[in-house]
Amino acid sequence: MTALLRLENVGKSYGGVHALRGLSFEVGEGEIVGLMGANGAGKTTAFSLIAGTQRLSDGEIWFDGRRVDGRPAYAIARAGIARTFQIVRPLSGLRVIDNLVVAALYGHARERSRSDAEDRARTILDEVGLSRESNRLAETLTLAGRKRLEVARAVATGPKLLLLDEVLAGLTASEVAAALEMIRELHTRRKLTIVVIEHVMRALTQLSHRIVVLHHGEKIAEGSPTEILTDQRVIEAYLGTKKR
Amino acid sequence: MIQKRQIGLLVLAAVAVLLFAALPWAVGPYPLGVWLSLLMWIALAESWAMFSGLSGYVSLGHAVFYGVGAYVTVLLWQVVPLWLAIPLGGAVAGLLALVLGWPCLRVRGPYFVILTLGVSEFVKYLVISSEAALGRNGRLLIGTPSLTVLFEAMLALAVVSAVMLQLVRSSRLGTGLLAIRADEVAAEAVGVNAAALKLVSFTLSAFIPGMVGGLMILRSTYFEPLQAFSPTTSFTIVTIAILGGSDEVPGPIAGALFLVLLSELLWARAPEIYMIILGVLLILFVLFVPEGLLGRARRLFGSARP
Amino acid sequence: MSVILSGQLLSAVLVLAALYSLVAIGLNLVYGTMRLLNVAHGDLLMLGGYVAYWGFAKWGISPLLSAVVAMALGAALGTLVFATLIRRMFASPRLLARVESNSLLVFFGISTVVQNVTALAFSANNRGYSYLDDVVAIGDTRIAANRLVALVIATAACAACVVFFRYARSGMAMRAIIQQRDAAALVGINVERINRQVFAIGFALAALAGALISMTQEISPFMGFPFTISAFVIIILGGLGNITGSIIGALILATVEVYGVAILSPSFRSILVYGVFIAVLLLRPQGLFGRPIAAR
Repeated sequence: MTALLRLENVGKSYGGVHALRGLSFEVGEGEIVGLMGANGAGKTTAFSLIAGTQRLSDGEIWFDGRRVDGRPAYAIARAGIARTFQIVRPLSGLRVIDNLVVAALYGHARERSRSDAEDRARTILDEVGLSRESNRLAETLTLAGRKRLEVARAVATGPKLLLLDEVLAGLTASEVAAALEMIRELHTRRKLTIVVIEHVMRALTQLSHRIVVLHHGEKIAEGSPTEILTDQRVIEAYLGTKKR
Repeated sequence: MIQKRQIGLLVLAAVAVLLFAALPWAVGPYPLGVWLSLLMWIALAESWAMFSGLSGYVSLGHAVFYGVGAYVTVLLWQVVPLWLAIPLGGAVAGLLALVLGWPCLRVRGPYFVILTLGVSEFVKYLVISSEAALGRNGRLLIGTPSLTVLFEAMLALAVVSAVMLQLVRSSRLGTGLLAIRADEVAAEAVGVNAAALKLVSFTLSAFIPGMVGGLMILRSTYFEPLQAFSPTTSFTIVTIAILGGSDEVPGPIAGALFLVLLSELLWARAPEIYMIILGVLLILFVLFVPEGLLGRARRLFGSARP
Repeated sequence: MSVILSGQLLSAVLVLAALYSLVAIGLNLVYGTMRLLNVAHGDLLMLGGYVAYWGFAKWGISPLLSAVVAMALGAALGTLVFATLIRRMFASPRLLARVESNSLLVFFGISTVVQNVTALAFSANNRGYSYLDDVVAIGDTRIAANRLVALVIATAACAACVVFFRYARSGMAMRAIIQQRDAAALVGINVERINRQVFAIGFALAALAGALISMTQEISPFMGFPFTISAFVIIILGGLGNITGSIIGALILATVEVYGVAILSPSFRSILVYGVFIAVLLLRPQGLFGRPIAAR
């Protein structure tokens, strides 16, 4: 099976600082892959490179059989990759439903007519539980609501690949559980391939089929959640070695 | 899908246009000139709103399109028939927008604003230099069309610009522009090609001002670059849009009405006081009434935005 | 070759650069600390010029003395604008979201008001006066005494600024805010108070420059805008928020202007300045020395 997303030796440096170096991994269709690592390990940088908001210094990114690195962000969105932002960016001044309508009109699976776009928007708002808020201005939602909106808007583009950047950060325990449920539903119902960045370890291991671990900009491990949690290198990176 | 309310509004608008068209036979030259000014500001502000109101990229240099249109008309005076010269003025303005927009629109936020101001002044001084090089110290036009003809032409431009704003606003282009205004990075993340949309609407917003400039130079019969490219024109357009409301068709109309009323009361006697009041209003509205008179009225009377 | 190095042109460059520096430092301070682009800055210079003119024309007061008054008035005006308008902008989340664009429009309004109030009070005609007109000879170079005095005072003021930012507590606080606004607040700097001082100092410097300039050229209510543009060019060249960069930027622009006009002709001056302005904004919005900023 050819991978949907493939990173080959991807690197990003700022001057002399390497945010990412030699990163290679694949994501197969239908998989949920988790991206793990301490702050500064390079996770969000990887997302920015995939989504096209930043340029690679090295390597290649392939999506759906075509090379996508170097293309502008909007083109990558149209190719089928949708992302959320770590610090949510609602389209303020627009209503919740209009946030999704924009995505439906311009995204990968763009609708031809506005009414079709609104239909799609309403369906997705229903799926994420934001139906009652659809006429409110996006910025009036609570944080949990805005996080849902962020995911919903990404899904409204009709993507093949969804990049979720710390969507659980700042949520209470019950909100986390609800969000995980929402993600799983979206994954199954819409046949999405998902790459997730999360700090909430339990959520990450529950959600992901596979996990890639980054440390100081390099991949140090890759495998199933159980394998990762018992991997020596991972434990050392997070907890340090026994003898000092 | 057209609803009853919208049909009502369209009928109202059509009646208003017809009434305006009959004005030259109903009022004397001075009042007609005032109504002409009103239509001019409406045409300019509606076009400006098509780009700046929707995208949030405030252009403080729209006078450059007005001036270019005026200059083209003057250069083609008696070289080419007027019904061709005026649209050519608009076309050249559009071309200028295309050429300038490509590099300038990549600059964001307040830098774009002062850049447009700088570009407008730059072109102004270029024209001044070129006129000096040609040995021209202002140009006089003799035998320009009657006020009635100019009035009807301006009415047409005002209607066209309002229609254009409405069409753009309700189209996919308009949705994209509003998304850009809200958050350009987020918009691009859902597939909006911000650079292309901005360039298209910027170019569209230049045509009418170019033609307006041509018409007004026929009205004044005298071309002088300092006047034609005056930053006061740009300032007034922005103030109208902010006073009235900058992203829907009725907004600039409200703003223009207010402005023309104010100027009628003050301009002849004390142009400085008029400008001072405009400046103060701009400050007050930016700080306290950003949605403009129209938006505020809506909120007070509770109608929902379409 | 001798023309290029002539004392005449060099002295012109120095005088212009010194005055430009004053204007640019003020603008840069406001931008560096609060990210506000004050398009009315040149009009403050104009006000300073009128204070000096009025003092001399009405009461025979030396413009050098009026310069002090102008500075005080500038500082007062700056504090007023900050306390009323700017604070309001920072206090409202809605306005804060687009504070840079909103403030630009507000300053534009202020500019219009200031220009027209002055035109109302003094008429739109050019005004001038003679003070220290006699020509002084330094070596081969001839320079008007008032220009020499302007150069000396402006340079002294710039030097005072550099010292201020290096050693004075407020100055260091300003630099801290320029570098990292949030961190500055965290280490106990009263950001609002410092911002108010920034406005006061920025406006005062512009007024000083205006008073000095009024000795050397005619003034009019609408003379300010070209200075605003020049100041923008300078702060972009020198790096936004970089105070010493402004001085270097001022030297560069003054050189380009003086030599450009000498080589081409005075009527090209505006084209030159605006051309440089556009080029700089398009090519390197972060300037020659500044940090890369999100102008793109």
